[in-house]
Amino acid sequence: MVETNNDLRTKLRKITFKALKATIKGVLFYSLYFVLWIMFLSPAADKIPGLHQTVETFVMVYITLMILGELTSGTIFQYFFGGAKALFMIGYLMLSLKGGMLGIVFQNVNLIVDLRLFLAIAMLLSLLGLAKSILQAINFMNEKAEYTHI
Amino acid sequence: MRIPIRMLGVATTILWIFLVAFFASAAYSVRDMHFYFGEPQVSITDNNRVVFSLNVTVTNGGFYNIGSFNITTETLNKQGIMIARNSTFIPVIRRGEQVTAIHNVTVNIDDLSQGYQNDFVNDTELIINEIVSMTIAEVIPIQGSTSFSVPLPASVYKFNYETLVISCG
Repeated sequence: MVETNNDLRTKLRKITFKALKATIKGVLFYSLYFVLWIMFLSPAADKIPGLHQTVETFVMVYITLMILGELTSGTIFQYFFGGAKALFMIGYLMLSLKGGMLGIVFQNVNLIVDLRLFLAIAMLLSLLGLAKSILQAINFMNEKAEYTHI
Repeated sequence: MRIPIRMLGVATTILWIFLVAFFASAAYSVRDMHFYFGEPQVSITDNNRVVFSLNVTVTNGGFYNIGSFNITTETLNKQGIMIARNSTFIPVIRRGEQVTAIHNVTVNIDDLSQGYQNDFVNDTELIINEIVSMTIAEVIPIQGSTSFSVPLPASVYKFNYETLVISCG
């Protein structure tokens, strides 16, 4: 995109708009997580040790990457952060779900939950997200090259 | 190129929402599932078999069906050798449904006294392994297992052995 007005005021306005958008996105995402947590997962958190911390860490890193992606929007780095988000999702799901077989010991009862199907679907969706980011980056570079050529 | 990428993004988002909503509601459903294990009943049959009966009531108040509900009881002696094993299987427990099943475990005292002479003389204990498995929403397999021991005095065996000797003699 050819930038016509390059003065400080426009740049400041752009950055403010990006920061505002990132903040709104972050707050909305965290609110969604908070509602889902209160409604569905908090009863399970009493029985599964470390669940709250695991989910909270995931949400924090995801929101951070999302905000960074928003702040760098309009540059190639936006797609890097998008790809990082997808890769982080795959890695974190693999590690936190221990390959899909979760074992919990609760009052002399060994509980095994098989989440391999969920993990497989989640990883495929994350890979789709990664592919999307790569395609977006290619498209961005392609459009930039076209505009430069013109 | 922009429209296909956007469509890909929309499709991914929809699938993510569907996946998270499904698994969150399935996890939430567990809260409304109730399992009640009644008092175990013990009876001895004429052919020297001890039958342990357990009433199991499952109330499925969740959003989804419970599939492949299975209770398995393994009875092992002190050395870890399996004496008896029995399973009770319920294929589907539909949502809002209450199912009661009787889980029976039969231990043959004749086999016990023939195979394990050492236990026959001394006080011993039986190790019971209880395994309960099911698939939540007919998709997520879950298994719970516990182990406990039941003391078994030698007099139980001696009584049966003497009965056997008298009946054989």
